[in-house]
Amino acid sequence: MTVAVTTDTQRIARGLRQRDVALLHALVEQYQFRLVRYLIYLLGRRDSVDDLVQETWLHVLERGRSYNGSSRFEPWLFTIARNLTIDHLRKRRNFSLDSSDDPEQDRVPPSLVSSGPSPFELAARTEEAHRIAHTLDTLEPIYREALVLRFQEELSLQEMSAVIGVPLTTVSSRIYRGLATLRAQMEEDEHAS
Amino acid sequence: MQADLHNEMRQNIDKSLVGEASPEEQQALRKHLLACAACQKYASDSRLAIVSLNGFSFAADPGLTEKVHAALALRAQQLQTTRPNRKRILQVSLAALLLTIVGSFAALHMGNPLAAILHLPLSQAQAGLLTFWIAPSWCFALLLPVLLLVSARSANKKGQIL
Repeated sequence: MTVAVTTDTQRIARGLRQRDVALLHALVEQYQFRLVRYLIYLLGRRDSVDDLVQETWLHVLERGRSYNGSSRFEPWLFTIARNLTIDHLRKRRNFSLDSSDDPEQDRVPPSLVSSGPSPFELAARTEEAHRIAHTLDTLEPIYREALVLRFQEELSLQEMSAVIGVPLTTVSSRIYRGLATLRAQMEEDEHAS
Repeated sequence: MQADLHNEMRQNIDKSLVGEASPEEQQALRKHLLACAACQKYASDSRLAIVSLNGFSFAADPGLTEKVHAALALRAQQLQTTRPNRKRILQVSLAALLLTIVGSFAALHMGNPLAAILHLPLSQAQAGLLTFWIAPSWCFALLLPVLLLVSARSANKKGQIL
């Protein structure tokens, strides 16, 4: 199994080094949905996601040589998407890393407030999802990001630490806090009903 | 005391869900859950919260995927066309460098025969070699890599605009 995964990542690394367009098209087909989902969780809204997705794939084409195939492709892809998102938000809102007093909010700025239904409300297709959509919408992006990377993308804590650029302990605490918020919302809903 | 135990077990539940619980912690948790309804509920609420995350459907727009494919194809084509140019510029630059070396060698070692053939003093023959051979080829050798850098930067900018 490990050998198969290694071979696969090495095949991707080789293709990216050669700027193999056919391989890139296949990667887009395979990872597009997950990339869109990650960016929605990170941004908390749908606009700008399309531009960031396109920009991410162009970066993959141009900087593909920096992927060496020794680790999985997904964390590397998400790292590119994350860095582009932070640059994008900095440009739009004059965001500065120094502007935050809270060390937990060290890299990702909070979502921009937008009117209308959130992408979570629009995308909810089960009753439970509807119940937590609003919570996800109001949850700080760093906690949403931790939840999606751990429970949707199934990244290991080490991979998450590499993507987010924070220590393992911070990764864990973000997941715990995100989970606690979701759980509290569900309990509240239960009491209300 | 009892509250501490429940807190500890709830921490173990969180750790277990995140994948951080040790085998000992998991074993203690299993044992505790058999007898504690409150912690069972905590565990099932936590699992439900995680499962709820699967209840969202963020369909990727097919139009976006098409757009990405087209942008990638175009950018790859641009990168392909800029690559041979770089190679050619480097080759010309190296040739110019070689010419500079040959010119310098000629000025040093073949100045006398050349001056005799052209009926000129040695210093004038060397000055001529310097002006019409060594200096131009040296400029070419230096200028072309700069051009290469400028063209690479403009290609990158084009890619960002896409």
